Amino acid sequence: MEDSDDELVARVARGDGAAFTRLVARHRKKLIAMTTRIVGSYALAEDVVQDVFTRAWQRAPLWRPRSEGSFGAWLARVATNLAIDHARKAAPLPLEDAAEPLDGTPSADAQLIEREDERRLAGALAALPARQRAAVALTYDQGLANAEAAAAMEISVGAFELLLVRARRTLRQAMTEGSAI
Amino acid sequence: MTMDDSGLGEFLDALDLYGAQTERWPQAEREQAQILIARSPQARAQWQAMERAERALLRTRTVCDATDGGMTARILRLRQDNPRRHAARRASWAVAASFAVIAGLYVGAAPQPSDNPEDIVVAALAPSGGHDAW
Repeated sequence: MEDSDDELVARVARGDGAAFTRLVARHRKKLIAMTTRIVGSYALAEDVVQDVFTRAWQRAPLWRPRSEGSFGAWLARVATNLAIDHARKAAPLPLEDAAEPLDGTPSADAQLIEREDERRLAGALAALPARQRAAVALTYDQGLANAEAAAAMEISVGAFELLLVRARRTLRQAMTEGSAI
Repeated sequence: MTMDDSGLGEFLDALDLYGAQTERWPQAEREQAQILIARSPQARAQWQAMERAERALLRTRTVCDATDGGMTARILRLRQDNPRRHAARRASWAVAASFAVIAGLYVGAAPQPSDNPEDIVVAALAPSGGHDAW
């Protein structure tokens, strides 16, 4: 049976490097995906995630699960805050920063449509305020429910839903721009 | 429900709140949405637009490199925070804060200089002792 995050963090607190390596392997992929969406650059996202895990390693001996919530929620909260800070300081996101497709190889027409959708999406995401982009990233990349995502952004659920509604509206409208209907 | 009803506005609000996957919507709103999507070309077009946006979001999700480029090894070379040192640092801050509060109370309780001109002159002449006539 897999060790829980809390068990691994308790071992990390005693300086167990192997436990830390397992925690990194467990959470890095989602954190990179989420952070890249917010800051718009894989290289910058790697820096942010390294900063997050450095804090996790150094502060593990002081970790108090009861006051800080789950370890995953703590990681998401720190990563979101750092990524929003970076996104606000950085230059505007590039419009054509779509990643390589994940799934199989659709037909040529379907691929064209998908590329066009991805281009529109990238443009709309780049134009969103950093906090709305963070709401999208926490929902679609980190896979969090609204209450968890709101906690990660340290705002109320209502405030989070407002950010997500505005972001989704912008993305939806970007997909219909120039269409006949 | 027809396109002229207010249903479309409510549908779009719900679409932006819950996303395109109607199976995740609350049941009552889901049933109304499905009727509207079936009957209204506008509602259907907006729902499809949201679905395309969500599919594009999943397709463009960043896939990170399998290796972490030595990140974990670099971090493991760093020292961890020591709870005792942390507690000692907090204690020294508490002592410093206590002194600051006590000093503040002392200064606050001390007699304040008077704004009265006569008092000011008396105070200024006090060292010379030549102010009796005033």
